[in-house]
Amino acid sequence: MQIRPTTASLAILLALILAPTPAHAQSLGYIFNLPISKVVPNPCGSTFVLVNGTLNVSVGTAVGSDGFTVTIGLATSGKGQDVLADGTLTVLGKPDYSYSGSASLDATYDATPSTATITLPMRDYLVRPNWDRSDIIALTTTLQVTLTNGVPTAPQITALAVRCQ
Amino acid sequence: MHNDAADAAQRKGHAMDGPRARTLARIAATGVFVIVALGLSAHLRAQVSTPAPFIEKDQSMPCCGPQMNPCSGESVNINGKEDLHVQIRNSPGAFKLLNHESGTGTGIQTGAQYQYEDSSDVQFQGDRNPSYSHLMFKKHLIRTGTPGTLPDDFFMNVKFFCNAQGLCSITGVSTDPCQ
Repeated sequence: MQIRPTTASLAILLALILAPTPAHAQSLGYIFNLPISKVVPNPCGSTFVLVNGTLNVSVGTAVGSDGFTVTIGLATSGKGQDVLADGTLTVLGKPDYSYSGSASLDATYDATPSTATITLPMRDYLVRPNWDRSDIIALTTTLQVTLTNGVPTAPQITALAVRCQ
Repeated sequence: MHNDAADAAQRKGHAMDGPRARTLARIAATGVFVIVALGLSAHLRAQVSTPAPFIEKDQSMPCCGPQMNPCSGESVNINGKEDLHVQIRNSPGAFKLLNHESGTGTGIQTGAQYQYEDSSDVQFQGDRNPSYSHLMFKKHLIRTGTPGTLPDDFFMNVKFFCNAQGLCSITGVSTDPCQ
């Protein structure tokens, strides 16, 4: 069976039109450093703790064959000091708390959303040296990341909650 | 005469009523059929092309099997569960996942006991929902009973994959370096 040139050309043209477009990946990265400094009640006692730290937020966006993907990476580090309610340091005889951690999340949309707000928690554990386990504090930092047409604005910390472990 | 003419006219009228009524009935039936067919077609199209406006899904899955305790070097058998509650709204988009996790761990060699219990939530809002996402939750495995010589609490991360219908599965479990 002989295919006429015109038919073959038409078939090739149709195949080219109908074939999926090669992924034209376009990636962008954004870094935000959010300082944290807040006096919170110590949920494991009757004192207060001054939490001083940094929340490093990396936001990556990419457009590929699956659509639009946003990747959020969180890295935290900091310390907690025993204080009075007004932030004045106290001497309890216990060493300061410290914490560090990381977490990540990604989401893929079939197309770039005109607006998207992602609210996610970052869980840290404030631990005194040598694993004094009498008063470990679970610290949850709630973060809100908003993207407009795929471009993130500066993330916002919307809540800081503590719980005794 | 008047009565005869009126009767005749009435009879004639009645004689005309039969076919006219049938025609009207056919037109009405066709109209009803067309309306029902159009409505059904629109409903089916809506079902096929438009996702349900609101989805709510509860899932419970076991987690997490043997995991290496980075502080003691011992393998700990984790017997826990992940309870997920997903709420999805379309147009505008909103995807909310609530996770409650709890469980115990037993050191395979020493029988050391651990426990954890935590909850978290993640939300997506916007003009559309993600078609899929990867999420991660951290938990603190607290040593219970006699602590022993090593402070060997440890932290474990559970990773999930969730699709647009709110179906989630565990894709990985890892432990953080000993703190």
